[in-house]
Amino acid sequence: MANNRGTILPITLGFALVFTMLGTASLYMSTLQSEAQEKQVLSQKAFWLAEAGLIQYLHNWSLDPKVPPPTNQQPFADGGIYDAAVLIEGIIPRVTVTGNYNGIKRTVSAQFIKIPKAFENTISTGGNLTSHGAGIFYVNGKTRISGAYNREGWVSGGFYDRQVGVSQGDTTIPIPDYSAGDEFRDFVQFGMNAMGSYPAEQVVHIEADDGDTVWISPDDELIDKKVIFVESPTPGLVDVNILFGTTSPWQADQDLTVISTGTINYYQPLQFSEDSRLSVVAWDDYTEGSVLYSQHAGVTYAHDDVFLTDLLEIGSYTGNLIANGANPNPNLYDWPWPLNDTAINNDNGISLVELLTLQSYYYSSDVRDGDIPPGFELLFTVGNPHIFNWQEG
Amino acid sequence: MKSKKLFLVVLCCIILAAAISYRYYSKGRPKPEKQAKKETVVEPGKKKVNPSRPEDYGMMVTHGSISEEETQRMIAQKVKVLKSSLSSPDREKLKEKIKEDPKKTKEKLEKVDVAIRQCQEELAENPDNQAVKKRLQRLWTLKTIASELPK
Repeated sequence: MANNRGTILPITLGFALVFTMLGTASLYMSTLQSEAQEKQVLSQKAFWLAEAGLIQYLHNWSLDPKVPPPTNQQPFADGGIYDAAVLIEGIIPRVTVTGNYNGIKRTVSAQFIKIPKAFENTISTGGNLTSHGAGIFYVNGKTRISGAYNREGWVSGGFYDRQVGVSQGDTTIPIPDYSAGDEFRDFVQFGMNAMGSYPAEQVVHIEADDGDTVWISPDDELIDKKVIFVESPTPGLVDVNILFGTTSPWQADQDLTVISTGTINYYQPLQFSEDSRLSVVAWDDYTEGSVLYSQHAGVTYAHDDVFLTDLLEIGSYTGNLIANGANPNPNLYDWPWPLNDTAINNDNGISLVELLTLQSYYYSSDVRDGDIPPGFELLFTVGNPHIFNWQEG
Repeated sequence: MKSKKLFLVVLCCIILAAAISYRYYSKGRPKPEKQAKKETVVEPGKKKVNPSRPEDYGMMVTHGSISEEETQRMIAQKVKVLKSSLSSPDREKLKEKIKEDPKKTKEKLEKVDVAIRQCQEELAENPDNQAVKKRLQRLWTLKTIASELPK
């Protein structure tokens, strides 16, 4: 018995140690858990702060793109700040906003762009839409006409959704005002800026003389090119003729924009590749014709008129067709035949002339989804603000 | 003595555990950091692009109106180059896409010829009609494509 005396103390202390350790461990665990939960809440708050900053800046930017990005903003009474920064990637700004709530940070970023309303439509014109000849055409998606729709001859047209008398703000795209007044100079500057947005090896700049015609046809050297700018000294005095396409018709991922200070004529589009896109920007008119089965995907923008003429075989166009029709004449109901200067020079907007077979026009939402043809971003100075390529981190 | 040492060790452990717990509980929240990033702007249009030579890209440049024969010769040459540059499967694909009854092609060519005659008549009356001149050029081009490409 004498040997057992005093053992109660170490046993008690042992128990005390074990319970203390267990208590401490459980305390530690619960602390960790509570911390994790707190961090989660703070992280959520930081995320929504960042989102709030992004939306706030989108609003500010839509009113005035020159407004600097907000920094050190505390939008909510219970604390937390956000900082925004802008990085121009090519032409489209990427806005990065970091929300910071009690030291916990979350970052979100997205690209902002204004997309003109004309890109909601398959066909848009600031002038009239006139059909003449014999044949059938179908326009899927929206057709928006600021002037009138005139049908001559034996053309039967099917419009999924056609409206006339629409505001020109919804059917046309203005040239960005770089020079305060001289629109042609602005157009040339637009062409230069479009080229300047890409590496030199991806652009082709042709300086033509007045009265020249530049013939472009499929060529290996044009593979991977983004912008071809054909420039003449005088407005409207150069013709660009495109035959079949620009690279082999089956070249995948072609995404090229041809810009001309004169007219552009596209003969026999043969863009069979799914990823092929050929877009055009013409200071003057755009004409497209085909005698065999044709397929064209891209954005067509004519500052003046579009003539879809001499379409002698089944064909399809997928994209957005826009003709500003610089001086629309809504009273033009009698289309003189055969064509003469009076008819052509009346700035009709879009004309389907000598259509002899079935032509289909399909809407493409590529632009609205942020997949913008080379150079077109520079034309997007008006329209609804869009947010795309959102990402976290 | 032994039990005293043991007591001291256990006491130290308890104090240590209490200190750790206290540290976690009393940890102050870090102050928010201000992090204003600088705006980076790359202005478009800054890069100078030197004029290119059209022939380096297989382009041709003509000046003013060209005759029907010149148009035919030029388009026929382009079609020949295009066909020779195509791989065999691509050539078959093209044939399949544009194949049509020769009778139909003939009818189309006749229609194009009618339109060409209309333009020529119009030009005989008004030789300065630029719009008709341009359409005539387009019709010659399309006529050559219709006769050359399906071959």
